[in-house]
Amino acid sequence: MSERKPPSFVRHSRRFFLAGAAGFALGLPFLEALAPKKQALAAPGDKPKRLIVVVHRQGTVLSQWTPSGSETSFTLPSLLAPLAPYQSKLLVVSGVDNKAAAACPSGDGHQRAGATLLTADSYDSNMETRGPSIDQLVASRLQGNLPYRSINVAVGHGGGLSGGALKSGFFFVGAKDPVSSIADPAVVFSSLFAGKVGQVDPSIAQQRVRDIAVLDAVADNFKAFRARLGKDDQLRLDNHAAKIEAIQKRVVAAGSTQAKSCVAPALNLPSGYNTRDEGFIAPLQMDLVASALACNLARVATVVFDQGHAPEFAWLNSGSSIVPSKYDNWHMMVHDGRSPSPEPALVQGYRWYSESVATLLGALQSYADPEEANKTLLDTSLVLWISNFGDGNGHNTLKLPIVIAGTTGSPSGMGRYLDLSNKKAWTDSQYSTSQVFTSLLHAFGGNDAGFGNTSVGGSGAVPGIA
Amino acid sequence: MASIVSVACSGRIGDPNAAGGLGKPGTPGGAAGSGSSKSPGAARGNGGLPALPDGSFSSKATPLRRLTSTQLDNTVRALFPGVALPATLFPSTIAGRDYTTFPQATVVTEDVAESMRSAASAIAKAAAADVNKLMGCAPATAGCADKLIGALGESAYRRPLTVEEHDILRALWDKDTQATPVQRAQAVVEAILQSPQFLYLDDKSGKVDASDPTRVTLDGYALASRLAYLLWNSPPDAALIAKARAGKLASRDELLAEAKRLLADPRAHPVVAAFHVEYLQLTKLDAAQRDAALFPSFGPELAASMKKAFERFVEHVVFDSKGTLAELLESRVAFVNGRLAAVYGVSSSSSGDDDYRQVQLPQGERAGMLTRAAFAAAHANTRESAPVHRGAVVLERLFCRELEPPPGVNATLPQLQDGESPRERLARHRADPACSACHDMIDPVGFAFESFDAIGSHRIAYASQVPIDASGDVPALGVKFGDGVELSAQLAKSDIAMSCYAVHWLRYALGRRLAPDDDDLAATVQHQFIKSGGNIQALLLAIVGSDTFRQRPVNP
Repeated sequence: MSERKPPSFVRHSRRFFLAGAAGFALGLPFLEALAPKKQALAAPGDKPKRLIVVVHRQGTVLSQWTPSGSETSFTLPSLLAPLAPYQSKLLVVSGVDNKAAAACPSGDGHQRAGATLLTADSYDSNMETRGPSIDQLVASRLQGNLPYRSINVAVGHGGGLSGGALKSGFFFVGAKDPVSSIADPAVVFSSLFAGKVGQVDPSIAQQRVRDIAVLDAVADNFKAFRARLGKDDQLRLDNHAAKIEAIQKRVVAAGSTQAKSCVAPALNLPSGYNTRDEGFIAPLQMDLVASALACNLARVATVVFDQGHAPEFAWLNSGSSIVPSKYDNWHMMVHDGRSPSPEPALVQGYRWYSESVATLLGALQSYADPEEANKTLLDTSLVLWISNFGDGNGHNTLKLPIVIAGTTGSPSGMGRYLDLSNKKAWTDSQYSTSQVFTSLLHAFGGNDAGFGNTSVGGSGAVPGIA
Repeated sequence: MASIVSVACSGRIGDPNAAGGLGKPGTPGGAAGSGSSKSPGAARGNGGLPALPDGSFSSKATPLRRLTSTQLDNTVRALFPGVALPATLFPSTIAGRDYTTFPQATVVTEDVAESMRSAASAIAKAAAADVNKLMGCAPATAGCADKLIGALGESAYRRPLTVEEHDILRALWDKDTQATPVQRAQAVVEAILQSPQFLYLDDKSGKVDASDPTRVTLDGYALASRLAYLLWNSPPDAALIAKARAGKLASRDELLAEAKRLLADPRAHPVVAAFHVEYLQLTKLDAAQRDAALFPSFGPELAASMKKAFERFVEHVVFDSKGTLAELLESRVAFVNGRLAAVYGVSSSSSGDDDYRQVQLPQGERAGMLTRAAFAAAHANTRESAPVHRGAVVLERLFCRELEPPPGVNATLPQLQDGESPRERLARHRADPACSACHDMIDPVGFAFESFDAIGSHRIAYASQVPIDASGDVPALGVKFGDGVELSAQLAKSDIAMSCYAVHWLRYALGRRLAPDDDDLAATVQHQFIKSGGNIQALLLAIVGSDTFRQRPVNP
């Protein structure tokens, strides 16, 4: 019997995820095949094999977020308490600024903080990014022959691009090349699993040959069209052509033995569910991410909590908004959250993000690494959880709340609190996100001198992370 | 801080920043200089027309533009008449901070590419089901494949195919020797629908201008597409393509004659309406949520009704009435269903959600587009109006003031205190000079619309019983008003507002913001628009007739 912990979706499972007896019957072989054979703590120094980046908006209340104690003996405060079961696998980092936001030529506080958060670089005069976000740079290095560069899901919102995809503004393949995130679990499921993993029907093999021929012709048309364009336009067209290429690569790989070895989970959603109901959506998306990684569909995943302005956290309050009526919405309450004893509702809302990250860590822990059956996905993954602001009330990019989980490959291991803070409010810190992300690149085996805009963020890594 | 603040709130009527205010009649409008030595008259107050420059050519290229979801949808339906297709085909294009025509809005992510591939597959399957009809010949007969590729290709690419492009599709037809004609035709359609020649506006063809070697005059096909997508969001019709083929769009007059024909066609109506939805950022209504306890009538149906009614109003003004910007800002004509009649406090004989009846809105309460429920509700929070948002939209869209908070400013808005009005709260916020430089303009303009609550109902007091004060006096903008109706009336007489409105249509038409290189273009269009008395169709014809619309720089 495996030691697999009950997956988070069990809370909902009767009704919609791996639903009912039939659902479990479908899902069981998959679960057994993928459950870790035995629980082995990741040894200090284990290199991460995959990266999962989680972003929520509106920062935090730093006084309730910052741990107390020493590097190896620390106490998690109320906003991080839900992560306590995983404390030995955490690296909490405080006192790091996003210094690229201030270098942007235009834009309001939200725009600056968003598009620079993971690129660590200012955007151009059209507010378009100049380079990749950290998740996509790592993804381009790790993808190899896997079908997806990254799995990108959103919690909250929806609508937007049809198919439930939205541009959150955090993730970028490169210059002028945003990544969209899918807010609808049904779409995530069908695009990743439905008919795409497991036994491939031989009757569609001929169709695949035709699909490849069509994509070949499309690629030829891109080449013919490109010759007519100037340099800026060519960049946009090349970005588009790269997506066609990625799709073609997936179609080609669809019959490979690697894909066949994975059995798809079952997903059964109630009709009329709302993609804006984050309390319902979050655990489903976390499980889908974990199962996609367990199926080796990608080495990188991103999760964004897209509603920053007016999430109501109604699932924490019997269906009513937790935001007191004196505030117009969550955003206005966030702005007002500077008092030493913030609104209980503010702490309650922020804490929910922590609970959702705990759900993700639990899901990762419940699956075996697809290549090392004695390790869990969490043992061999690096999870980065970050927000666009530090203290939400200030809406600035100083002292961002950063939690790393899983493994960084550091000889010092995990279960640490790295306090890099200069202890002064409203002033720049010594380290930047450029440097944290450089550390992450090192964790994944890179020898990068820096990441993003090193002239504002500085080069080199942060000591003690990787 | 002073220099940052001045950058943040000033500007030029060209783009990206416009300066100055409405000014007083007969004066050049104080700080309203254009910031450019080339067109000093471009941004005057109410002192007269901008000087007409010698030409209207911009040396800045129009970027490569992908068709929007609406344009793609219309194009596919025109390509396959009579073929039953799903209601929604392509991932919807979201405007973002600019317009749906901007390349940033139509960027193709991997998810979008996947969705477009699924759409192409579904469309191809439906279109090729009756392969003889699609091809117009028996598939096995000699030349039939080439006929399909030539004819369908030309319709889809809106121009004849190059030999290379033809060969690519022919090779695809020939490739799978096992395939049936239906499968082959399906593959060709699928490839066409995912190719850049179909997805993007191809305006690169043309000849170098005889009198100016730095310019290329676009060929008829490229002009036909530019025109049809601008005014119809659709591909050129047969008549327009015939003119293109015959070289009958080469002169400005020939092109303008076609533009007038297109504007007289009902297909232009939803396009002009949709522009105004983007212009005033009313797409925010799509995701709007309100506190159900305070606004039980608000929901997706009412939000959609607000948007629909706004579109009907714009179409009425532009196509069935005087057609001026002033009328858009002042007319009390509205089209309401029952839901909206309740918001406006008028009676309506509407028989259902889709039955919009023409009414006059109450005098003194409403005037024009800025006082409509759609504008008020799009720029509001869950419980209250959002005067700062409303003010910012008006400053950006009618005064062409770019608003950029100085970096590092703590944007915290103080909490509303007991017995305090929202206006007093914002006044406390403005005590900080870093905030006041912009907010001294934004806030009073936004408060002009405080008579409209979070769903656009008219009110005279807040829930707290604090009375509404919608008056404002903003010398920097040259406006002084008792409420939004009065502000709208002043905007209706303003050259600045007309100039700024023209800038926004230019942005939409070009798919980019304007640069100093565009000064001659902007001044020409603004001149013709103001001279016409602010007629919106005249503005569109001025854009179409400009050198920038008909030509492009030789080196993009």
